[in-house]
Amino acid sequence: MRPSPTITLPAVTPDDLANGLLLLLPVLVVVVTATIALILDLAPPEWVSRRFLQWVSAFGLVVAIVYVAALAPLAQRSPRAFGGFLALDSFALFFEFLFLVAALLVILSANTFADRQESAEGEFYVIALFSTAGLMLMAQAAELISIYVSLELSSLGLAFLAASNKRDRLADQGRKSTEAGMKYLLLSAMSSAILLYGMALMYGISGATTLADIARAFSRDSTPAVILSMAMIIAGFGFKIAAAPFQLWTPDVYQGAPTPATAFFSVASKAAGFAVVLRVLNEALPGLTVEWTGVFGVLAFITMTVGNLVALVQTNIKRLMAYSSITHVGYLLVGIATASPFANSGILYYLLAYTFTNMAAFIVITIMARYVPDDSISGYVGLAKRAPILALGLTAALLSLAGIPPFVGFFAKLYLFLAAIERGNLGLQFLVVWAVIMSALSLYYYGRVIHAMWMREVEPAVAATQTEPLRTAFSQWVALAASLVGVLFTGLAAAPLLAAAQTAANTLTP
Amino acid sequence: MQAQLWTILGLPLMAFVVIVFFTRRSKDLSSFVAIGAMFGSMLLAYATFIQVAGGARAVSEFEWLRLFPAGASEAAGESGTALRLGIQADPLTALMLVVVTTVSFLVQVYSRGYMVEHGHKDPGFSRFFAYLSLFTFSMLGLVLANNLLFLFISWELVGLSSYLLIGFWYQKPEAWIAAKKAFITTRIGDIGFLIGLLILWNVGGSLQFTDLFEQADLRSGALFNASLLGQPVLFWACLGLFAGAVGKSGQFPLHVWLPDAMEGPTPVSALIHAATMVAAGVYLVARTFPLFEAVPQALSVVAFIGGFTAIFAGTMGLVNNDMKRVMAFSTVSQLGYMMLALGAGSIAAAMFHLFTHAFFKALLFLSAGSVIHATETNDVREMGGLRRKMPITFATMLIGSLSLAGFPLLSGFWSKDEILVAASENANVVLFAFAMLTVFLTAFYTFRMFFLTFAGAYRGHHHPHESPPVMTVPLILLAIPAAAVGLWGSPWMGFGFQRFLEGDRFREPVGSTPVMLTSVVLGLAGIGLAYAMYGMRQPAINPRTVGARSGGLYTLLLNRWYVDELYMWILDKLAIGTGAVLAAFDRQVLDGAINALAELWRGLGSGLRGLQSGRVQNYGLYLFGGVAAIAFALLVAQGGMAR
Repeated sequence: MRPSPTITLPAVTPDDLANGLLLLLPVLVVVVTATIALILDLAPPEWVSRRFLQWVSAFGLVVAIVYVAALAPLAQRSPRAFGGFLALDSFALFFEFLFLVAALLVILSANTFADRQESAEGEFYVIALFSTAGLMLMAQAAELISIYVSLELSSLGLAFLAASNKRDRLADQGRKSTEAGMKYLLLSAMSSAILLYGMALMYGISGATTLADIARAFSRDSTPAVILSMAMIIAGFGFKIAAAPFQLWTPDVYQGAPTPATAFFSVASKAAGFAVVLRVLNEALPGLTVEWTGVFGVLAFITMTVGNLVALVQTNIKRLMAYSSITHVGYLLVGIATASPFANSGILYYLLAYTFTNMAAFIVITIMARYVPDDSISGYVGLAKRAPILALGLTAALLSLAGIPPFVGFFAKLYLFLAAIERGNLGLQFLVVWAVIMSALSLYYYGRVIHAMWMREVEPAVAATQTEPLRTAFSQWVALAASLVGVLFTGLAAAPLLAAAQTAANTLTP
Repeated sequence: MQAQLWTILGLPLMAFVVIVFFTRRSKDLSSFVAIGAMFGSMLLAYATFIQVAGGARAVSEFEWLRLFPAGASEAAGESGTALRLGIQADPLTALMLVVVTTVSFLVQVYSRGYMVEHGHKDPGFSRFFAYLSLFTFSMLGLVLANNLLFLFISWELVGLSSYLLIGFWYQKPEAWIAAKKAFITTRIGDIGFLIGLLILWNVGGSLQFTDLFEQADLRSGALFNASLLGQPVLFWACLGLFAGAVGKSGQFPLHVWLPDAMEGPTPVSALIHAATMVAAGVYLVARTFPLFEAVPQALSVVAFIGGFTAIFAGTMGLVNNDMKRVMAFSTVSQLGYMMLALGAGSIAAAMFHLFTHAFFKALLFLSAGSVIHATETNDVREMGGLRRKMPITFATMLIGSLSLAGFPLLSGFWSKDEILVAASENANVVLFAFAMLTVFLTAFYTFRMFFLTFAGAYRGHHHPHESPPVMTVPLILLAIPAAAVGLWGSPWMGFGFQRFLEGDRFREPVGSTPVMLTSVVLGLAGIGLAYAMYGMRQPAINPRTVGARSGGLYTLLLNRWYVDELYMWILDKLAIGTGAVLAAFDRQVLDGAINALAELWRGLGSGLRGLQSGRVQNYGLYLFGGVAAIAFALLVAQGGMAR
């Protein structure tokens, strides 16, 4: 018996509305901040400087973080709002916290790039804030239409961010930035189209758009149409999280986009993809677990292998970081393929660890972008002598990415892999072994950067051009220090974050 | 006693932090901070040792985090599983504390002299002491750990500080290449370690040594379920742990990094690559011995790798002309002995040799450092005749060499004898033969180096003179334990060492006299042959003739059996090569192969015609290809299931 093919919009009661708005506060704060920044940027009073806009944006994000923290106890009690359109549970809040932290670090560290612009700083902050709001809605979306709309909202913003360096004439950066933005926009549109096909099929089969209803309809039987819709949805999300074989856009966009935008791509946008993937798989497709764990197991293997091997031969640090991020997606997919609450909490913890670690690395790369316009690894030779603290920060971040204790990257991997082998599945155990081998191999290319900074001497001819001291803004120091605290201590003192991740992951299970 | 243990661990860390953040600019102050902290740790380590000898034991741990594997949460009132970090003191730890702190202290004092060239302190003087403190902290954490997780964390930190110290003189390309090689090679072993750790957590449910040992002692249960190749799970876990040990202790086939690591400053070689870090592998196996004991197959692997490494490294030491590398090969070979002893089931013999070896090998390295400091070369061909010029160094080097060669009544004699007896009782007869032959090789290459350095006439171009007291005093202080510490474990003192370590479990060896006599004869023969070739004014046997008549063997040994070349080839061709191909695929092949299709697609009138780059379309096609592949695979899989 087929359900009737009409979308029945859920009824919204006044209570529901008030409750929903309360829980929507963090997003509203970000949107309001973005609007204020937009107005100040368009019609700036005389006393508004670039720095002022930066601090306004940062302040708004801090306020939003405070709201997220305050809402945490409330979120556990009221999981759905607006008649099921949005889920405002601990899971969503965990991701909102992650996006806000990432956005804050990106905005604080964006100076170097913005200085090279003529007057683009304001729009960078504004768009970063709007994208953040989009990402936050992605984490909350609990229904196909809201998922799709929030996904598009964030993608549009991200494409703008990638292209926002268009006026930069240094080393052809402007053209590359435009190209990156265009590429992202077009490819993202294509993947969205695939996703939409999948969603339409899903609706056609189940007659429902809320995830819980879909789950009920899909638990009965898996016809070829169901399989096809799932394949399309996996491919659409695979693009957002840059899982192989849908990773090909990553290196070009990462390399072309201005560095702070690349940082935002690599942590926030990726984490948002995982938020949606986790929610859809666990809440809408629990009946097909066998099928999608198999697919993601294979994708995990391909993703980490391709990312790692290609990273070995990179000479550009942003391309290196792009492949590195692909590799980490591979490790994370091992968690998806595990499909247990333990593994889900491991994914959340890993994403947070990755946020701190990758941001620390990208902040240094952003600062260095002024001095190494082509972003080549050889431009980092002798950095330890020139700027020991920056070199130390980047080293800690890279070691953390390689999974060396006592940095958080090690603990995140350990936790995730423990979760994966706990299932007692031979395929997963093989994946874990492979992941451990791959992460040992990764030390080779992270080590090349560390090696350039600490153990190679600058050639005299180059040294003569490096007389000026490195300029690092105060806000960049703050951002770097904050992310390094994360890199160093969120692993050794993991208990509070893990408890939050576990609570968040447990709200997912239907 | 708990506070005392944490202080032992904390002092070097404090020294590291203080040097990095406060005293970096003052070279003297930095070195005094490091040495002072080390001295404090050392005294506390001795105190701990005495308390442990008196029967005291201590554990101090805290909960690091709580796991809820089944998806249970704290709110649901389930307790989950705690992952604890902590430290402990027992005889094995106490022993290692004494070794690590003593050698580290003496090496740091010595470094105050060694890191000065022509009256100028090395530009990285403070950095050097900071690294040494970091290393000692990590190493102490490794021996104090009461669970595998904390041990692993320290283990990696040890590797990291070793990397920093080997590459300390990064102006030399050899130094940083060696540093990188060491780090990456040991990481390969660590893959195994981490996998072993994951297995033990998953199946054993704990990483605390005591919990795991309890389960292993049962000889049944989850750890003994059959898994791959019909072996019990525990076998694979032990093999993983042992892979870590193989990397750290430079055992075959991961031995390649240790000789190259000699590019670091000589005090570093003495501390890290002779006495402490490389012994960590042996310590790991000794520490987790109850696990290995429960699966005899794993012990056989340990014995085989150890025995083979002993003789394999010994052969490579025969022909090398670099003083430090000869000693590096000798270290690898001696560590092989220790592994062999462990494989033969005797922790006491292995740890006894580790204990004496730490002292006499550190002494040998520091003496070599004294020689190198005076002659400004590592090459024994540019030495000779230093006996009169450097009398103190000559004496200490002689004591070290005799001890290494197993000369009767010196430390090395007692401990090596223990290993040979253990091997004769419990090991494969081939391995025992290897061990015996290695005695001869060891004596020969040690004294070849010794005679080339001190006998005959000086062949170099400098004016060597005895080193300053800040270097010779540590040498003399180290010479005492290098000569005499072995007596503690000798029958004359009732096997005191073994009883300290094993308590009531120890039983005296019987019928060991023939083994002892044979090894003494072999050792003396080695020394004699070295004298005949290199010690006499008119060599009774000409080394050149021997080399020329050896066929390809001499070249083969000089090139270390070409193992390094093989590894480089694998790395270059396989890993980097595949990476390059895939990268090219990302950039070009994809473009070219799909171009025709892209043209077709463009012709169909998609709105993307205006774009300059053809790549976007290719990506798009690729994307749809991916969807098709996933859907196809799923449908096929499902079809398979339905049937």
